[in-house]
Amino acid sequence: MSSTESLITHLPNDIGGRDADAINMEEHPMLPWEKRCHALLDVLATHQIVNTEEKRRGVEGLGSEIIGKLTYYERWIVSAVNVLLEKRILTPDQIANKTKEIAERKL
Amino acid sequence: MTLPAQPSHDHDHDHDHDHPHPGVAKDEEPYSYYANLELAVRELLIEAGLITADEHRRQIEILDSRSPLLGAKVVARAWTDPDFKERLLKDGSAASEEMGITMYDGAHLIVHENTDKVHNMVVCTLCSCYPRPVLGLPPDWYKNKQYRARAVKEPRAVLKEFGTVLPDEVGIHVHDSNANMRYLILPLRPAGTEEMTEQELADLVTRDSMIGVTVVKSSLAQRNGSHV
Amino acid sequence: MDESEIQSINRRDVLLLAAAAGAPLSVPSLVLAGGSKASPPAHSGDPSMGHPAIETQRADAIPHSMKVKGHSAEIAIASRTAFAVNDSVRIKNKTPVGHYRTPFYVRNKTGRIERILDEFINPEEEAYGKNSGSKVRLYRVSFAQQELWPEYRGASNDKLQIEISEHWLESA
Repeated sequence: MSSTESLITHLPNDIGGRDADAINMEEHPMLPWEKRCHALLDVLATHQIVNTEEKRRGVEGLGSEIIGKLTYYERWIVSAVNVLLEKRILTPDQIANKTKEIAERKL
Repeated sequence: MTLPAQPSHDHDHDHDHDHPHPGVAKDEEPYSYYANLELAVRELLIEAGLITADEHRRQIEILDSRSPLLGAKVVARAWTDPDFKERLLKDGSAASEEMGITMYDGAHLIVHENTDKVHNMVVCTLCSCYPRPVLGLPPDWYKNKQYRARAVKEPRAVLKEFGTVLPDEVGIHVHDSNANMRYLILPLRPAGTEEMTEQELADLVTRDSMIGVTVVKSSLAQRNGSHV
Repeated sequence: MDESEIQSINRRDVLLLAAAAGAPLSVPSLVLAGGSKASPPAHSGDPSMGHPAIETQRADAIPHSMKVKGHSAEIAIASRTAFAVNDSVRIKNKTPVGHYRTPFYVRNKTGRIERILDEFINPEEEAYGKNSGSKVRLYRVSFAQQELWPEYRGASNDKLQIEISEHWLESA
């Protein structure tokens, strides 16, 4: 196997059996936006706008660096955005304009 | 509880003044690009008529309504009603529906019974598949790589970290929840609970015992001082 | 269902038929269009054992688009199960690109069929937006932990069970 082949064929989330540290049993309460994000992805799955498997694939496609740096629901929403763009349901400019408007609205 | 704040009035207005908008509670958390991204996607899809604000709020209600208390009720019913237990082990989805719990997204519930000979535990090595209708959302450790990586390869060491030490005569069955089934563990009913009511039994049943990383102890209720 | 999707289903069923011709079908459970189930031929062992999903299969489990199109032959072929409970199976050693739900740690490992489940859209295709059409049979496969991890430290009766789609299984 070439040195980079496994980067393509072995998904970054496929970690069953790897060595890892002790389990950290600390739990953090779900943030309000995380719950809204979860609910949004549930609604998108119900309508098959972004089905669960597409969402997972979108997270995997972020690559291990981004996966390692983003939190669980940060990965979800970025995955959803990428899938929606890919399916031409939304456009990059719509996202740009709407996030700008929201940031200004919240000031 | 985070149902979006409702606007306090319904007149037309610009966005340059200070009052709550749906989904924008100013004091709830610091600026987050990702929170804004979620709101942006949601608003765009609502404007496009693909989803409604109402169904999103409804889904938050559904998320809020699910908790391990539901799974504990199922377990206590199975402990006290042999016919229900038989139906539950045969078809977890159908038996849960008897108690008003419905699965979603095409997933089916399979219930595994712990016995003197077999202890079952659940992991999702690829992501975080979890029987949400009966347990709510998974704990952080269930979603993190340490549990996902190790539970399949060294389940006894993982169980020990949760304080669960089982003799070698008890086989450990690990269930990797990787596709369309969801798994609930029916823990072993502890000795000394013969006189307890169904509700008292349900109070003993923890989330972790239904994931299968701990066992149910009869002393939990005494320690917590409830229902005894 | 558009024309291209019909073609892809037919192509898939031809492949399934070809695969079936090469190996005896141990549990040829036929689900007919409309949801009624043909009586399975005599089968060694308890025919109901491990088949709760099949026993409870309902008409609405068949994709609506297939029912209205009336592709009963396709449905019947697609609903055969190539493996029976207790069959020894090996997980194919192959490497898809893009998306999969068969983790590396079970590939090329031998286990046995523990339970036959329903049919579902192949997740590798669902991940790219396929929401209807042909489905693949799902099984629960049980492995001895020593088979998966040669260095396994634990009891010899420790097991691991996981869901595997039919296109990942071969007889062992």
